[in-house]
Amino acid sequence: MFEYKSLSVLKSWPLFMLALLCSQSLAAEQLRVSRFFFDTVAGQIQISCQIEYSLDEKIIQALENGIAINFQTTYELLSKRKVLPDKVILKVDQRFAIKYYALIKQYIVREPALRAERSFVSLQSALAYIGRADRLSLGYVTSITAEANYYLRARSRLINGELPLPLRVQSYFTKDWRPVSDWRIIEVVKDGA
Amino acid sequence: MVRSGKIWLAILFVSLVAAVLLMADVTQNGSYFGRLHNWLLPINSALLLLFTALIGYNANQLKRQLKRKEPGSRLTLRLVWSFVVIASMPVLIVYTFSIWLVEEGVDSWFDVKVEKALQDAVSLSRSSLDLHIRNLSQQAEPLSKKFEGNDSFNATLTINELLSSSNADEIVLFDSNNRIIASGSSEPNTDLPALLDESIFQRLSSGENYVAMEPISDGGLQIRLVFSMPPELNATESQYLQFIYPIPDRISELTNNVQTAFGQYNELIYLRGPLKQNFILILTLVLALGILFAVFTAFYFSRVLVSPVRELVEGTKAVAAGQYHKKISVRQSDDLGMLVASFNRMTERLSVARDTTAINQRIIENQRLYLQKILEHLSSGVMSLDESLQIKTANATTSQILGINITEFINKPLMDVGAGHDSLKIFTLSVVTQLRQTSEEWQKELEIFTSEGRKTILCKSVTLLGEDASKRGCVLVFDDITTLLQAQRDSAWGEVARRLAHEIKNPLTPIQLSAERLRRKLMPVLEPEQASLVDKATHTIVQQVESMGLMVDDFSAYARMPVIDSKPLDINDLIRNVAELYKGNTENVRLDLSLNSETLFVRGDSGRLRQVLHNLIKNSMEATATEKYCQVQISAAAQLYLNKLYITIEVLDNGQGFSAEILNQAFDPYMTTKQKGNGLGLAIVKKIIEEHNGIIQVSNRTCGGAMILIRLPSYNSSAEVIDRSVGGR
Repeated sequence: MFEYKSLSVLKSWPLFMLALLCSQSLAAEQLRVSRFFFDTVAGQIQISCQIEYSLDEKIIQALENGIAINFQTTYELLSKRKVLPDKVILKVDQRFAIKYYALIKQYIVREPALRAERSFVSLQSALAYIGRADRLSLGYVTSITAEANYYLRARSRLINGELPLPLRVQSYFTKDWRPVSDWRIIEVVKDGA
Repeated sequence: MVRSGKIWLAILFVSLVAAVLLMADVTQNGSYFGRLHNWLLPINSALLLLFTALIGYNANQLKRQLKRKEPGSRLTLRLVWSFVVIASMPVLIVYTFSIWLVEEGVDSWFDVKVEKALQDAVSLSRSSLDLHIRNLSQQAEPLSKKFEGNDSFNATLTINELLSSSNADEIVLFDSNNRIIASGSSEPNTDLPALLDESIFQRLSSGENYVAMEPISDGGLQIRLVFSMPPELNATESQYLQFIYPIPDRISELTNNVQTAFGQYNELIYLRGPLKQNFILILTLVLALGILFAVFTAFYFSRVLVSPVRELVEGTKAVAAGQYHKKISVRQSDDLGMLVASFNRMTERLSVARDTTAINQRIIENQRLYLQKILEHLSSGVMSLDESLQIKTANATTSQILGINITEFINKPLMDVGAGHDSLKIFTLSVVTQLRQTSEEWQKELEIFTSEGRKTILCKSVTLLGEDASKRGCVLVFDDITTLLQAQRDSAWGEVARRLAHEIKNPLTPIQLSAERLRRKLMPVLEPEQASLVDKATHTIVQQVESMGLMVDDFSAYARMPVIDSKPLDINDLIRNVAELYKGNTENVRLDLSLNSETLFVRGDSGRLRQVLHNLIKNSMEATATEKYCQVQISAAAQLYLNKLYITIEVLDNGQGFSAEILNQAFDPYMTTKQKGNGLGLAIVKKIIEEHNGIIQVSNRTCGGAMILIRLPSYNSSAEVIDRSVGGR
């Protein structure tokens, strides 16, 4: 369920740099982590999260025209460091793909990691489904030691790399196609503190 | 350098082509190179920036070179422009055509008929499925009445009964909290039934039944029917009955096919705009990279082409500055390489020629120094003039002879010498006139008066001819022949005087003795009258013989003119001593002296100068013999003449002066107006003055009488002992 931070972030830096250079305007906030908390159950860190999706009209239009849109929600446990960037201790990525099928008038949500899919009659219900995480296991409490300070954070974003190529190129030049929420952070308070 | 440049250029070109090709390929086949797409656009952008930076750097360098007017910079600019224009024109045409092709080509992919057909197919499929669902719904809805009043156990039994009597795959009974009350499946090993989601509940709560077709995990489709059941009499919450019906595989397959085709076509229609933009972006990128590569290549090849030209220009400048050893490396075997090789051969030959010239110049310089040394030590003055009679060279002897510093007049006209020195005015005028009159060699005796006195200069001119026999100037050779002429003249006059003395004096004694013998023998034997005649005749003969004897003595004295014994002496003292001899000895003679209060030293022979004064005073007294009284004025003073201090002595009398015909020949021997004079007095005076490097002039006074002017070089040296002995003579 959880994995250590890989170098995959490096793969997206060219896009990130290009996006920074080419962004013409700041778009309205499309993704927002509205609720985020955790609990320890049976030695595991379980997180619950609620993400609200207010997608741009362009993305909704693309969805209605059969374009598959991929979202990724990232949950991370990090230890604080003074000089170096904070170290990622635990990390879980949840990926969802939403696609509209015109014939059956259903929004199908696929979870590649679970190889599962669910259908929804409305986009709102589909987004509500992918925006909700209940008691998701992040990892074991043993990963946390008393010597360091820790915090949890959550973020959701649209995965540009999974867009069809014409849209992917377009997404480099406009922030509307690169919706991403801010990191929602909660401090991990040790027992007895 | 050029080789490595070509390699880098090739690498850049290959990178450019590869990046563009991959970009284009990714656009067409995203599944294969899709993961590279994130990198390709930045790589192409980086290439774009790299080319822009390289071009900017090269353009800046070219701008500086143009500003500094470096050789080859203008040619580079022209070549770059040519390259850019040649490369850009076809690229721009292809770009414009490609844009048009993309616009038209992408639109041509979509056919209105196909789109309509696909939409009809979807509508047809949906109608068919809706009909199927409606039938199932009509079958299933009455079945829900069987669950009225059932508890959980009875509900399970009812579900199992319905499963066997209907085609449903799964029947589930939910309560209002989405909890399963009872469920059943036609296949015993199935997973737990899926719960109702929020959207279904919303629909059911609004009083509608939920009827939908859903995909399943194996790619097929199923029909879900959810009915709301009113609450029991003793219960407050509603219950929901869900039926899951399978769709036949064939229908599922056909439905999926229609769905996939329609979805892909719809997606393509939606992506048409972005696809065009993507193609245009790639084309623009290719255009920009192509043009930038062309510009960069233009800079590179212009530099390669201009490099030998620039080196040639620098080499030419070096040669112009005298660096004949400048070599340019031959890097190419083309025409420019041949030109560079020719330039190297030329500089090599020039270098050899220059070395030879330098050697010859050294030889000529040595010869010139040799000649100059000879000229410097010549006793003759040598002066070279150009064709405009400007002085080009002159040796030191020239300065000595002319009494000036001739080096001040180098590269100045010869006439300037006369203009700067009055004593040389006539001399230079004569020389210039002669030079202008004839181009032949000539020789002339000219007189000048320098600080050293009057000089007779023998001047010779030799014309210098150029290679085409044209006149290029002349060489003047000066010889101071004053001493020589004086010696010749003295020698001639001495010989004349000696011969006269010898030839005349010898017969005088026999004549006198014979006359005295005739008188002694004849007087006693002759009559008184005859004796008186003989006495008178012999007396006359004896008297004339004595007179001739005196004259012969004068000649002897002139002929025997001893060498002067020069010593510094005061002219004032000399004049006073001479004048003292005449005081009281003669009647009607008045001798006035007008002497300077300061001493007037000259270097001379006091005895000879005393003789000069005696001769002049005697001459004046004889010239005023017919006057009532004789007045002789003698004055002496120091005067500047031609920038040199001279002692001037003037002897004035109140006689009749010199007649016009005598005035010019007053100093010639035998020139006299006196009956008893022999004409040697003034000749001896002139000879003595000239031996003292002085001059003597005669003239008539305006108030009557003659004036003799003597100029002797002043002597200003306290080192030598002044001869005071003149006062004792």
